[in-house]
Amino acid sequence: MKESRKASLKAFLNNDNTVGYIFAAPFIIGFCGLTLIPMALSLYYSFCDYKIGGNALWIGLQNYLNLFKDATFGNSIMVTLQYVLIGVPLKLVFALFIAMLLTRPTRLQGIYRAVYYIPSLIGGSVAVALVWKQLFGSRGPIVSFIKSMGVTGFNFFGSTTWAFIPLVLCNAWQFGSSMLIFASGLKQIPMDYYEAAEIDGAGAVKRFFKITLPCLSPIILFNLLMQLISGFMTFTQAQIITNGGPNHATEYVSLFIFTEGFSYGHMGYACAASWIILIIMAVTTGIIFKTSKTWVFYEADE
Amino acid sequence: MKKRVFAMLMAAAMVSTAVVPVFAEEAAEETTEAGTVNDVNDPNYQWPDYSGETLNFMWWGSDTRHQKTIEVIEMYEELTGIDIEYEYADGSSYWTVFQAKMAGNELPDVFQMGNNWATYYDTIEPLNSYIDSGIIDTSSINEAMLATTVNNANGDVTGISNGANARCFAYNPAIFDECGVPYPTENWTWDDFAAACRAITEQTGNPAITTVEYNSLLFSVVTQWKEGYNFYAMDGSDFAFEGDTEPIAYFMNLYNDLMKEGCIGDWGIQNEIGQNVEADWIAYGDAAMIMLSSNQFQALSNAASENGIELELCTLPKVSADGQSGMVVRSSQQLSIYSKSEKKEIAANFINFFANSIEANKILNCERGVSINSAVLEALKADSTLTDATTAKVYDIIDLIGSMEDTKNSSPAEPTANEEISDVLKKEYAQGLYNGSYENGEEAAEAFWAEAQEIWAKFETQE
Repeated sequence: MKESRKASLKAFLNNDNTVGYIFAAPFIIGFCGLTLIPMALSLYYSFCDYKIGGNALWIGLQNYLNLFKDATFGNSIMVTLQYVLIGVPLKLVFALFIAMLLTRPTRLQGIYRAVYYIPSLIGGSVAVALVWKQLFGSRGPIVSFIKSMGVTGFNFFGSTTWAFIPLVLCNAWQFGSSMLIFASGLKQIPMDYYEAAEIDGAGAVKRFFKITLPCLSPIILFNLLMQLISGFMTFTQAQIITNGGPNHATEYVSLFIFTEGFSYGHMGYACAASWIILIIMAVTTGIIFKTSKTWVFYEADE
Repeated sequence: MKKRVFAMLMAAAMVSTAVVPVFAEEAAEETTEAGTVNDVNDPNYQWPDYSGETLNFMWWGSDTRHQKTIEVIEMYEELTGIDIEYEYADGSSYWTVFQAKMAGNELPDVFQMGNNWATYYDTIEPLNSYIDSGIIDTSSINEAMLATTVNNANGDVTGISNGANARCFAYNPAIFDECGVPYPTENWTWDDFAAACRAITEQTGNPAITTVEYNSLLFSVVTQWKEGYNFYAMDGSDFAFEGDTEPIAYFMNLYNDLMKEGCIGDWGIQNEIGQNVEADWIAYGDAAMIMLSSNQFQALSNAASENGIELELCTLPKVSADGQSGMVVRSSQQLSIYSKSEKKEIAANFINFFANSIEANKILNCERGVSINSAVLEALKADSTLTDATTAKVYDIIDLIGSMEDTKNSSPAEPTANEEISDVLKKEYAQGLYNGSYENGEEAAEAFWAEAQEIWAKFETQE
């Protein structure tokens, strides 16, 4: 009896599934503690009138109904879309451009890649946001230069039309991770395609549009989705550089959620807003996936 | 040295089993007895032994404040053997950190709190029992300033004020001279202010002022408008201006016109400077004026003097020269004890030290505001190395404002809804007016008043 129990324990411990779960445990624990439970709580709080440190009072759909009437929230979705629609393509084009430059074989290739990746490493940090705030600020070199050209009273962060430009540029500047993925994608395109095209007399532009882009399209899809999601979640730069201003011009949804939840103490309302954003992001991603069939080219399909 | 201490501890441990209960009783008696004389300035004061204990402390402020506070912390560590773990932040990020810690029930034992204590009321331990037992010695603390941190509804003392200060203006006399504009006086009006701004901007090409705390100035204008008016009632329980949007519209129009003309730094500039007065244009000699809290004057003056600029302080402009000043001397910040702290008594002793110790305050030197402790203030004023020309100006302006009869009519209250109301006022209505979402100040004022009431109602139901 004892023997068999011992044996079954041993069998259980040596079972492939058990071993797998044990090795995956750190992730599973982290995922439950840091993602799953907070998400469930936020879903619950989104139906409550809840303030941090206070009691949650069930109010049903009231938060969601109020959100649909909230002009500030509507505005924050619009400016986020503006940011994503301008910022993400800009960043991808830039990343692809640098990646193509870097695939030309030179001895310094490794160093170049590392150097261009640095902005991404430090990109999301507060320090960089502060540097951009100084750079584009009213006393910064760029505004001073514009002033010296004779334009008076111009200030990026004081204008509702221009305030988002430095934020978009700051985002585009952190192209490193997309660039690396593009670079590895470019390397996988067989050289014979290019050679054949060259013999047939195709120019560089034609080769780029007829060979590089189609062969790279799965990678573009991946980068597009990743950047889209991170674009929707932009927070640090907006909070540090413009604090959402002026007049809500750069109050992106994540900042709206933060302000409502932490500054004003309407945590339930903020949770509801974050669920609406989740749905918007899911729908956007879904649409891109659906359309991807028409423009993404998989060699395996041929 | 260490070895000897260890040996003594061991010896103490051997006899302690029998002695401890008696000891503990004696010690308890001593604190209650000593309670009436917890006078840290007494040369024979027996410093409590807190070796092995740790206390957490968090505050906000400028670099100057961080250095001074850390110096005082080290002083207390040396005197009592305690280990104080501290954390600091600038004014705006402090509350983010604070709320995160509050949500996790991990607030420090002692923290700096502002006039917005109503918002965080649940986290604050009332100090009444510590004052009654004498652990916190309030014998030389100004009664009126002690009352500023009291919850009028139930008499709870929410903290001990770190100092008195008032919102005022600082100006650069050199620029005023250069532009031929008369200096601000005690009775200058908003019209004088506007005229000065226009004259200066016209001649220097720069905004005359780049930091103006919009909401608090607007609230001051409401107080100045008519005797008995205040934006919030004295006890913060309601609005107190009969829904009269005229003063709000008046200020909105004035401010908006000046900003449109380039006399006031635009919203971008103001956001860049934020609460960091050292970065204000006045410190570089570009702007002529700044609105600030009197306790920020030291830091600003230090920054300005590096560029060879000397600044003066003056009172807020008024609606009419013989009308209400709308000014008030208030407690800018206080030290409070966390309601869930396990070391409340140690925390209270630390606060006592912070508020009463002359040696400590010689280091702090009223950077948080003019000390509310008469003995401390006297000692500081007597020391000419501490009371330089800059600090003297701060003392003078506080004396001047404190002597005004009508400051008693100005409400310093910041109710829970204030944070959102002030924010919405600036982001939605002031900036909306600037960007043309509203025809004029009257329209923006009406819309703002409607929303302010809505926000107020939201917080009423939440309570």
